[in-house]
Amino acid sequence: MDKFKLYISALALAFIIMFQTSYSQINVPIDKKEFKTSEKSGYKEALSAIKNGDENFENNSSTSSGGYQKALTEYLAANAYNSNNAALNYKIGVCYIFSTEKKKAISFLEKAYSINPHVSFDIKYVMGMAYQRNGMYKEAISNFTDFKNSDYLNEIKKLKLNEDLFNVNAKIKECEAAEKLKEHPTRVFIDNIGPNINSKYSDYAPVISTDETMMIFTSRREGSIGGRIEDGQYFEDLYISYNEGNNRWSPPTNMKTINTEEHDASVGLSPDGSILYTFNGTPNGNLYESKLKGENWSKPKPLNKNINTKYDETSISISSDGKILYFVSDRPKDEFGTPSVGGKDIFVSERTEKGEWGPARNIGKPINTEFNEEGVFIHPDNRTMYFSSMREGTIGGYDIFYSEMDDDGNWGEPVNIGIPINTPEHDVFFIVTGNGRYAYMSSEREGGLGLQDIWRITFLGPEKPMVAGTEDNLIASSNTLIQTVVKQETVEVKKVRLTIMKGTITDADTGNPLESAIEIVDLEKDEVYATLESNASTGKYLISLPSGKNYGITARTEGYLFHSENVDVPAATSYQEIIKDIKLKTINVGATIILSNIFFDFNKSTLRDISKAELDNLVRLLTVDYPKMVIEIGGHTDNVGSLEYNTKLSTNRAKAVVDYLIAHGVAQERLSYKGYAYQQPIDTNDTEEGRQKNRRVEFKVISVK
Amino acid sequence: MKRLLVLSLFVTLGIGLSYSQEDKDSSMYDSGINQIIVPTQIITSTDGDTVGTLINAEGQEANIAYNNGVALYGEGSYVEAISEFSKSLKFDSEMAQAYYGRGTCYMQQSKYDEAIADLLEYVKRKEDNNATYLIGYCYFLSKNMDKAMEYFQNAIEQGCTNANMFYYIGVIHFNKAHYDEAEKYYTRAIEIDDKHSFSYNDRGSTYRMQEKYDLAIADYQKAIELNSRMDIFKENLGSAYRLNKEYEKALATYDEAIKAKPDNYIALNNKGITLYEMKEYDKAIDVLNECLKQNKDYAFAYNNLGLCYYRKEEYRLATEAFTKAITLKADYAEAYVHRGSAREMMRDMFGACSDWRMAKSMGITGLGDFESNCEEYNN
Repeated sequence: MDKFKLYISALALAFIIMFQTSYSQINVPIDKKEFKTSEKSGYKEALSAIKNGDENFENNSSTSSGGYQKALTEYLAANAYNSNNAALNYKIGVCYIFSTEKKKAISFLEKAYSINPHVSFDIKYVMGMAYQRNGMYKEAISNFTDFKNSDYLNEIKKLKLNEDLFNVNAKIKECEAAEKLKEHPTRVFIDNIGPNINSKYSDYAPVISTDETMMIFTSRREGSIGGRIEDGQYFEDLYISYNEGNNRWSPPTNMKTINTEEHDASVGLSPDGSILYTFNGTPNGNLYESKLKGENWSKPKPLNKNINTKYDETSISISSDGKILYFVSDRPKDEFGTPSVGGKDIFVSERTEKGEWGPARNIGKPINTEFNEEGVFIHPDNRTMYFSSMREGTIGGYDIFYSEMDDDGNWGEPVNIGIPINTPEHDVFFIVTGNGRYAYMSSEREGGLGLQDIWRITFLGPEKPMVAGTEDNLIASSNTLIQTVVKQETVEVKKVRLTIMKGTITDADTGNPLESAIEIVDLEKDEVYATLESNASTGKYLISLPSGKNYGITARTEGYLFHSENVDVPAATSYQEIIKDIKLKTINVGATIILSNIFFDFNKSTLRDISKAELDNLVRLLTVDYPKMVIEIGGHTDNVGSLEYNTKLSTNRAKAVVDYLIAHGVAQERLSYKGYAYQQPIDTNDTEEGRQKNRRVEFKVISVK
Repeated sequence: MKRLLVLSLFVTLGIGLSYSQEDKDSSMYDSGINQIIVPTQIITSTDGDTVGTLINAEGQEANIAYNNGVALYGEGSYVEAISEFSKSLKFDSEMAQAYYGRGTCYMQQSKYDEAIADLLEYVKRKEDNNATYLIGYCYFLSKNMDKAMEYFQNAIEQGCTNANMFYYIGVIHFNKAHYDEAEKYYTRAIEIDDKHSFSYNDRGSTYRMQEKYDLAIADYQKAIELNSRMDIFKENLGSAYRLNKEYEKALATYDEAIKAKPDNYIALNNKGITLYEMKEYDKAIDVLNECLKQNKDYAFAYNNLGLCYYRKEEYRLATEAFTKAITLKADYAEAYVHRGSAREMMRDMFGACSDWRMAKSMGITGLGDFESNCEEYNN
């Protein structure tokens, strides 16, 4: 009989959200004589229930609390025959500690102790656990301290137990840390996201798109592919659900193209929701990616050898520009030979010019510690990292921490995200929405629908000043009461400075969604910030953009003229969403396109450097895509100034574009130019905004051939 | 022998400070700090015969009326006294003392313009730094602080060393939140009169406003030692202990004040706040309810009651209490903030945003960027 088990030491990711922290199960015999009743049948039933209960109690695996649940049912049945048996109360208490009804553990354990303070040498330790898991940290400390001061080391020796399983000093430290955090709880609402998503089985590890429109999560519910059961629950499968508005999630669908008959777990999602990262623990933990093409997810493919090794690679998160990958591994050193800090660490890999993930580097201290780090998530602002850690200062198991990157690219000292988000259980996988106002996590809490559930967290921000109304007769010679004005500490409100640009790319004539390549260029740096694709089936795209920059956006797909836009994201903005729907025109004679990212010096026809990316798009169109196309470049102005002046200016500007094209290999005979001055306005000239739109360069298709 | 006796009679004038509490008045006299010693030459005869040859008949009539005025003043019959002083001036319009006597009567009647006019006539005829101080004092009472300061300064230049005057200068500075200056003048008053309990109290208050709570506590204790009947000294000591986070001492001190005066709603409210800060919310609620029994219209106590319920996560009761506070004090911006927060916790974001906007419009700052969340709610 396996009497003593260590729960969760080095977690495989798929099991990371399980329930137990270390607890050494003590076999406390129940004196069956105490269950004798006047009725023989009752005695028999009680004995049977105890026997079954004991079997399950002692049969808990490291990955499940299913045994405790079954044992609890049996023990409660026996308890109906005698509720004053110390050992039975002790065992019921232990089972409740690992249940969703943790509060009940306290009364049973207190009762066991009151009946027989020596019911088990670890009764005070277990009582400490019960109080700790119910957030009653002072009481927990008191019980742990009693245990610490007892002769428990001798008992451990006698019973040949592993002393490490009674790390009472660590427990006391956890409770002290919790007491401290409890003084300033994090102001949040934590809401169960409801029965559409959560089931009576374990539902966990949610990943969401930045704009909170899509969620993929792992569930051990009925209906898993293969239908295999382990520890009373089905094998893990991935499910997908869509936000139908007002935080109503559609009934989840099994992701059949990804799920296998083995365990399948979600661990990461690209910010636009087009690449899903999964975990497969066989034979060792590796990370896979699956791409959304139209409505279908591709079969998961393992990431390259810079990411996956013979060691365990578990969670993963990708930066909003798709260039940096953070992941967790227990490899002993990184690809540069730097030894790991300890246990599981967070590593970083950058995308190479070839688009591959480059050699991984240990992200180092202060993020990594000698303890385990897990569940890494990089916020789309690319400056805030959330992760779980078992470092000093946790309140039990893994706690969620966050760290912010400074302007020099250094990660700040991680901060415990606090109570009530963190609990004495393992808290792993914390996903924050783009606007920073909400987060998702899975945990086993009061109010859940069974086992692990997915919860939505609403950050309320700092508490508004709470000022007691008080006044005194401060001046003895006056009746005037003077109100005491209490100085309020100014609370810095952290704002997410991030812009999410999203939209749909469609055929300008039919309105059908198009799969299109999208290129985002940082115009000031003249470098590509990101490339992405719209979804073939919906035409949708999403990209996170750092604020304070001017971007040129180009959408391009075969058979259509490219479309360019200019988006200026002011530095002062906090979180904002820009909807930019793009209609692509089919290549027909007479079709015109505005070249939105061509800029001239003021009142001159000199092309500014930031026009290069747009001009090169045009060069590519005319030299690679349509080498015989004939076009006309048209210059347009607003109505400020004389017609003569504007005609000259618009003509010269159109000519400057043509000159650039000729210089870059486009035959002169395919190009013509004309200055239209202000004679073909596309907007009013009465406003600055309208005038700006009217000042433009267009090209018109003359022939395609 | 008919003798003309010129007696220097010191008439004690109680300065009519704006007190409503009886114990404050009596304590002022008891402590002697509020007495103004006015040297006044009274002319009378020892044997009741006519006044001597130095004055004529009209002068004699003036002196008789004047003495009648002094006697009536002493009885507190100010209207009659004014009449006698006026009669005296009719006989002798240059009689400085009569102006002084009538001016002080007007002062007792809170007729400060008339008092100032008479006292000015007096100082025109006779240099008297104490009278200059009294003019400043009348301006002080009529809330013309600039003029008050002008005359107080004149009095100082004339050599006045009246502790009360320095005390009032301290009050003016205190009210302008010039605490360093206030402290200086209260200290000067104490140097002149080391039993000036009011100066100790007020200097304690300047320390309190500067968050020098240890010094404040010492001064309030001294004030109580000098005058144990002043409840406000105890209230202030309690509050200084509370602000210094010496909560047990604060409670004991408030209890003393409440024991002496069970309807002392100020002390009850402050005791409630102390318990609130000690996180003893249930006890705080009991005390604040007692406070509201003594003064059912006390908006601050309702606000504080709301805070206790808020901390107990009883948001509906908190909202009700804050609403009461707002009903009683429509400009109570903080109560709007608090009610908004209670409504937020009840997920009534519409109500919360509405309250916070109201508070912001009333000048409350430090509410953070709640508008973006409110906009999201509206959407």
